[in-house]
Amino acid sequence: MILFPLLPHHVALQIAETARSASVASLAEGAATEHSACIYTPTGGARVSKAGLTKLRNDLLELATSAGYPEIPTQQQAALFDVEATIVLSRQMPIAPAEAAKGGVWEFLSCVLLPDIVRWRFSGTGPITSIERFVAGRRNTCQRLWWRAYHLSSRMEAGSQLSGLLRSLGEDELVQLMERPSLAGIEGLCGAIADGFLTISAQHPDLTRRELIREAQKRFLRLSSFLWLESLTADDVGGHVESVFIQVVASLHGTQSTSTASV
Amino acid sequence: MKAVIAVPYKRAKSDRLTAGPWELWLTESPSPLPLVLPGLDYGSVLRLRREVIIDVSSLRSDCGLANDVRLLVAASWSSTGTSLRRNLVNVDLSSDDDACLVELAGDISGGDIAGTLHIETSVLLAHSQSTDDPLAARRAGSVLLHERQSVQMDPTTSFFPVEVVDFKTGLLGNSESGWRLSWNIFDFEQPFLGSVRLLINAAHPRVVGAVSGEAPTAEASAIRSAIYFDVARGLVLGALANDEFMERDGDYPNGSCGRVVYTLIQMLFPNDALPGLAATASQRRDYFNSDLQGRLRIFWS
Repeated sequence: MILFPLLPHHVALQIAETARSASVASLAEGAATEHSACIYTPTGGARVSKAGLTKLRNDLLELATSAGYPEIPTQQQAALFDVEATIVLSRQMPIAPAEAAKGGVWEFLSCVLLPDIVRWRFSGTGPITSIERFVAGRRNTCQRLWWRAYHLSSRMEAGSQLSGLLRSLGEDELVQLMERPSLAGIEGLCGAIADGFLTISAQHPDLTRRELIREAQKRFLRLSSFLWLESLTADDVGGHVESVFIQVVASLHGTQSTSTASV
Repeated sequence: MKAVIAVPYKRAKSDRLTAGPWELWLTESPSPLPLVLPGLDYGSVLRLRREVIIDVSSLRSDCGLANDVRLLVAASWSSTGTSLRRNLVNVDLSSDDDACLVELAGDISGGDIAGTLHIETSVLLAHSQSTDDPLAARRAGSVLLHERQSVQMDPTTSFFPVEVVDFKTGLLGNSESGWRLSWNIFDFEQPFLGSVRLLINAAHPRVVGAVSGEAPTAEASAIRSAIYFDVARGLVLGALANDEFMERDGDYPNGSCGRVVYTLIQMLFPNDALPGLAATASQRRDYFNSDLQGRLRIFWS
């Protein structure tokens, strides 16, 4: 296991307040592989090397540059960056989930190692980047991508499947899949829902994908309170996923027929 | 509001399961699984074992399940710090005896868990089935009976985390201030006691003394009251201003920031709904602060 530097939250908050409105160029100049306030988890792995951090930064910067960095990215460029960055983060950050649950890891990446990339990636909606993209939490630029890869890869054997899923799912759909950690954390469920969703949405192009995934997630949340999905085989989980999507399709078709009839 | 779960099928009475203690095999001989287990690093492995006795025929009768319906005894775990839910071990419940002895054993990686570890022992429906009984479980994985044991992975979590640090650098706040509440207002899913810190300025001897002494003086009590009020106000106002917190209405895992702050608000304002409190907090802040002072009874002791 690799241990990453942990930046204390109050320090991250202070850096983020300034970084959110700074220029990409000035943040790139200040990007660093260390910060004097950082600490490490005392045991449980080897500390990431400076070379490792430099490679992570360079690889992500290369992806960003391919997606238009330092110019404001289009929605398509931002989405492309997210897909590739997810794969880079999952490969170059072999950290334990317990380490990934520490906000300091992500705050170090966003505020110290990659502040320019964070500012660039989320510069499209106005002159100021939301502070949530810098500090730890589900909207943190790197944290959300690492956990996506982790949950979607669970029970998967081939890395290529992850890449395929990431390319096929839209941002809103990925957000829906990760929105409830208690659901995303069930082994194999996230990937199974993603697979099931892509299959059913291809079969029913008349239904909006947004409605399909939102309605399905509500049903999975209800089911997970009395079904121990983590204790089932992948086939049985797949059976539940298929059954839920069939019910969702029936329910949405019912809704649409009703609204058409009323029109 | 925390959801009340009513399952759509019959469950078994809890005494159909008689569970022995979980044994922890960290060395060659087992020890009982403690309530608090500090010092586990990411490379450690929790090797667990227990025996359970299940009264299978009574359980089937309670749940309205025929003898040929396959059942599983499963041990699974979840961790509040990582939000992971994983299977530990599954055993087919093949016998229909009154007392079927089952051994459950499995490993949990130390890197997968943080905060509180919940270990569930359950009897589940193994596969989906169709049945004429409208109240019998029919979906694979339906929990017919379960028992939970919890282990605290970090002993410091039984106290509010306080750190005495030097504010001199200016990174932590004004160098002459006494304290600062540091928490992540954007992530209510984080374990409360792993992400909230009360930072005390090491260069402020009166404040350091107030939080360190076991038998506080009148001055120390007053300082503690002021800190208590400031922390509560910070948490309550931060939560009430957060859209997601308002929408989820307390629907957060136990031990998370969202759950703890929601409980704090319920304790302080038992008769108020969140939207009303949020409106008061934003429109009549002076009244809200004074009301909170009274409810916390600060400076009274």
